[in-house]
Amino acid sequence: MRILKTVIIAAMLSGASTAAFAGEPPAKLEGPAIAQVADISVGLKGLVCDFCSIALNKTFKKDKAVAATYVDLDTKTLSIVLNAGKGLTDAQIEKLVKKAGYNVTEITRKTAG
Amino acid sequence: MFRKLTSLALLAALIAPASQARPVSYPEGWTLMLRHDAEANSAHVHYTTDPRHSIGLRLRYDREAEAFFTGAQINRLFKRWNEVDSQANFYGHIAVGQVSDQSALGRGDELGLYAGLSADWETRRYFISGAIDHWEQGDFGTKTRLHNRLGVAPYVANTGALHTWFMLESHYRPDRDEDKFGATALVRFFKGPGLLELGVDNDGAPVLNYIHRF
Repeated sequence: MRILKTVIIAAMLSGASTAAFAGEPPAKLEGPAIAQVADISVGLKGLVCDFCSIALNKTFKKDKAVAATYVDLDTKTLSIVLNAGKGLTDAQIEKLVKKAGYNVTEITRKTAG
Repeated sequence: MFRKLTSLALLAALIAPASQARPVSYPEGWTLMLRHDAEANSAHVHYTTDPRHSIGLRLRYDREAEAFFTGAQINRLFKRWNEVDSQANFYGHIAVGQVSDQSALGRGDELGLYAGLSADWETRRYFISGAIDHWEQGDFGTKTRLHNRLGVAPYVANTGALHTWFMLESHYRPDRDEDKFGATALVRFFKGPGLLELGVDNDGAPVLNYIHRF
C-alpha cells in the first residue's frame, strides 16, 4: 500500500514538473490577466456578446500552439499566450478567427526583450 | 444570388425575430435551446459541423394541436456581416420528422416539416431580429408564424459579466381566425455560456427561453 502511495505521489510530481517545463501558463492565468502577458493581440470585427468570446476561445484552444486566450469585448481584442517554442502565423490566426465566425482588423505581436 | 439573399435577409428582419438565437455556433460546438410559451414547448440540440452549418434534434410539443414533433434539423448560416461594432446574420433552417398525436382522438402519426428563415442585427447596446417559421403537420394542421424583436441593453457589460437586455417581441399568426397579432415582453440575462429569457405575453402567459453553449 505504501509503495502504491509512493508511486502515485511520484507520478503526480513528475507530471507537474513536466507541465511546468512545457511552458504552460500558471494555472491561475485566466481572464483579463492573459491580456497582460499575451504574445499576440488580435483586433476583431463582429464581437458583440459572450457567445462570441466562447467561440473564439474554444476555437483557438484547440490549436497546439495556444496555451491561453482571452477575449475582451470592450477593446474588441483576442489575446493569445503561446506555448513555449510554438508560433502562429498571421495567416493561421486569420484562418482560426474566420473559422470561429469573425474577422481580423489587426494583429499585434509582443516585441522581444 | 447575393442580392437575392440580402433582400431575403432584410425582408426577414423587417417582417419578423428570432425565436432561436444563433442556430449555428463554432465548429464542434454543441448548443442546447429550450423554449416555453403559450403555444408550444420546444427543444433543439445542435452540433456545429463547420462555420456555416449545424445539425441536430428538434422536439416540439404543440399545445394547440396536441401533437408532438420529433425530427432532425439542419441550420445554415447563409451570410454573416461582421463590423467593428456590430454583427448581422441571415439563417435558414429545415427539420423533417414525425408528428405524433398527444390527444385522445387517436389521429395516428404524420410526417412533419418545419422550415424557417431568420435574420438579426445587433450591437452591444441594440438588437433587432426577425423570423418566419412554417410548420406542415398533416392532419395536425399548418402554421406560419412571423416574429419581430427589438432589444436594448441598459448597460454595456464586458466579457464574463452579467449582460441584461430588455426586449419586445411581436408575433403575427396569419392562419388564426382571431388573435392574429400578439406581443411578448422579455428580460434577457446573459452570462458566459448561458442565456436565460423570462417574459410574459399580452395574454399574461409566461415565456421562458434558455440557451447554453457547450
